[in-house]
Amino acid sequence: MVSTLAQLMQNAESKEELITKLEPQLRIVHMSKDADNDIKSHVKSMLGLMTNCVEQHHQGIEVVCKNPKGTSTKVKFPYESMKGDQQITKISILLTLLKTVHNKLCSREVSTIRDVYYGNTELFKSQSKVVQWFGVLQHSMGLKSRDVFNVVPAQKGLCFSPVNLYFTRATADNDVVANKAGLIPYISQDSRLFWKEDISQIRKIIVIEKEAVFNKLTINPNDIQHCILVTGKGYPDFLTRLFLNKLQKLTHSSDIDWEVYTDADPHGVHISLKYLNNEEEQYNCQKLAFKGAFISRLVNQTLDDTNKLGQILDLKPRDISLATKLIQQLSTETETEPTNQTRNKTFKTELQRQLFYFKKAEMNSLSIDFYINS
Amino acid sequence: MSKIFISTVNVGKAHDADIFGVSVVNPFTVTCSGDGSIKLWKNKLLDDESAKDTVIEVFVHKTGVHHCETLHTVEKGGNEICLIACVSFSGEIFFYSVDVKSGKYEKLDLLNAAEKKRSYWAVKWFKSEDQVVCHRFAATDVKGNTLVWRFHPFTEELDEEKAMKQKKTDEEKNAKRRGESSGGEIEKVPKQEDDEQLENLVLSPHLVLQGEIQPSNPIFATCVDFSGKGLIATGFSNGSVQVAQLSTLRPIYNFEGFGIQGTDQNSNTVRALKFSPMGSLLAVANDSGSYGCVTLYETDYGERIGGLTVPTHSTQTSIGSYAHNGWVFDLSFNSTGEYLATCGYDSKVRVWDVKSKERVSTINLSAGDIEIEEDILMVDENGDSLKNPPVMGVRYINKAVRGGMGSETNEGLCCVCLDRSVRWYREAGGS
Repeated sequence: MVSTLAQLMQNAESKEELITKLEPQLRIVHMSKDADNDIKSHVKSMLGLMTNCVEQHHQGIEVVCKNPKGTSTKVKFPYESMKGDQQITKISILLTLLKTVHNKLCSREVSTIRDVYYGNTELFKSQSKVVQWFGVLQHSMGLKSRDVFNVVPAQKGLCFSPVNLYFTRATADNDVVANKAGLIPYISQDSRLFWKEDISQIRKIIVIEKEAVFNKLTINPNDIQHCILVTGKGYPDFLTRLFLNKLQKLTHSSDIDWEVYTDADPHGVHISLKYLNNEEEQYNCQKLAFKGAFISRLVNQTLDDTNKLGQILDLKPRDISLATKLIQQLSTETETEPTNQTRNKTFKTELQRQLFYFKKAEMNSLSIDFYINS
Repeated sequence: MSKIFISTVNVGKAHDADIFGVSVVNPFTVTCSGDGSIKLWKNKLLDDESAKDTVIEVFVHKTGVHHCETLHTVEKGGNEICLIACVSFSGEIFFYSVDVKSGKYEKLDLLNAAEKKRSYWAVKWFKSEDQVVCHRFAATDVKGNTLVWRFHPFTEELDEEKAMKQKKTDEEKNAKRRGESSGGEIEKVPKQEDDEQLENLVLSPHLVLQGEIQPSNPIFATCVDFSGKGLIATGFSNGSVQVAQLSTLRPIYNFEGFGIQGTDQNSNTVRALKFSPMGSLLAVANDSGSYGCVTLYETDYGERIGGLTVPTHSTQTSIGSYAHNGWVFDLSFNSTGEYLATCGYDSKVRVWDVKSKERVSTINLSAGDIEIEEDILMVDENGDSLKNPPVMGVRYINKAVRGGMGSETNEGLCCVCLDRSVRWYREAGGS
């Protein structure tokens, strides 16, 4: 057994080798799938393993996780280097999140990412960091979604339905109550949506980009007894898209029109595409038809009524680059997947016109009748 | 005096998507569209030919094409060159060389790797009538820069400075000789070019970057034009126009503040600008809210000399005067510079007498005008009516460019509309 520095130096052939020999031995902890146990005991055993290692064996640890990109991330504790600060933060975040998840799972309560972030703002620095590290945890453990952690993003989407909507595996206050606009309830991938009443009155499902328009439409519930309205307030979150996907599956046999309305700007088109396409099937809503607002219609409307002038604005450099990027994307997609040709052409024509006119417009100026009756 | 224009030929459903631009040269009328192709419509149709049968279609880029500009010249040694430059929605410029007789075309690669990296919007050719000045090509990019290239048709490049000096000395010599010869007989200086030189000419169209004009702040540059008097003008989406000297690319004038400034309602995007053929006037089309204005500038001193307006009797618009009840998309002078054609969102083409600034003709377009009934497009894919289609581009056509009765002696017009049609007109009367 080598014990002195002199001996170590003698045995080492190079400086590098010596440094390696001087480094403390680390125990490697692989974050991985565990098919046998449920997530709670899996997290618990991992936490226990690391605690034991540090407390009882006085040994450092190296946690190996998988990135959403597919590469692996290694975080060491303790870490001897000038860059140690960053590493310490990383392992602290990782352990804090694991601990939080464990607590939430034990107490069976659901919390939002926002809650987790505000639990220790000093450590996380930004909410996106929390999302990022949850992504790492999710991928390392081979989970389909992070819902199983009992940590969900704060709800963003709103919906309105003229009939009650129920979800299996949801608590009572999570159902969608008829004729009342409210947040889209927390649902998980395996929850099922159903209704008890007759739904033949529903002829339309309308998705709207803007909350303002959504609110305008839901003021008089009697006018929209034939519609289910959904808004994602700008770019939709996964919950809104999951909800639409469930609705789509539920209504697949009935003859209902699916429509999406956004601002007449490149971001509006981008938002519509977000609803329509996602790599993961469960967040798709392929039935949606892009119905505008089209720039040409808003311009025509402005020409007819000069009081509505304010709604037409110049494109910003960011809009221009987004529009160019989207046109390219759509054109490539049309080549590889001709099935969506007509749909993509509508998007492309709209973007081309916005670029050629150098203008964008907001959907707010369209009249309510346009959405309900068109 | 009013003018009357008669519809001669029209083609409905000329493209599969919106047509954004038109350009006319002697052999062809070229249109470009969001469907990604440009089409070359033969100008001289025989009696039994229809426009659609003889059209040459060139697929350019899948993202769609929004600008096409053509250059048609006959160079030394009788070399006929017909080049088309077009810009796709991906911001790339594509060049094609067309053999006028056979209609065969060939894609050219005229830009270098660094130049290709930019995202372009508008392009323009300048056909030089002066032996000592090169043809030019200009393109604006989305950041507001205007790039200018010299176009050289042959491997041997023309050195403008040298040629200019040579011309001056020749002129001086001429003048001296004129002074010496008492009888006033002018002896011609023998031409420099000889047969041997002509034989050495190797056709190799290429562009050499002259430089770029930068805007005061980065704004979308929407249009560009050259004047025969050595100026280049760029229009911007914020309503300003920058005029620079072509030889040095130094800005000399900045026109700003059309209409009312400061509010979104009064956005005044410049959509088109054109120098008159002699270069003494610059016509600028810009928005005034949802209306379209055309303003004329004199180019020697950069003075505004008036606008083109229609009388209004509307109670809603008390301020401002406009040329079209909708954005003005394009302008085109006739060959003498006496008349200016404008077109706009209001589905009208107007022809103005430049001197008196009065309207001499208005053509009202309607989707139903198209001769072949099945080619009429009344609504677009979104279900919006195209009954009164916005006119996206207009070009004056010189005498004897189009075939058919009366075209030899009368000028004409060509316009492209949102109902995906191309229409040709000829001025009535005279023979």
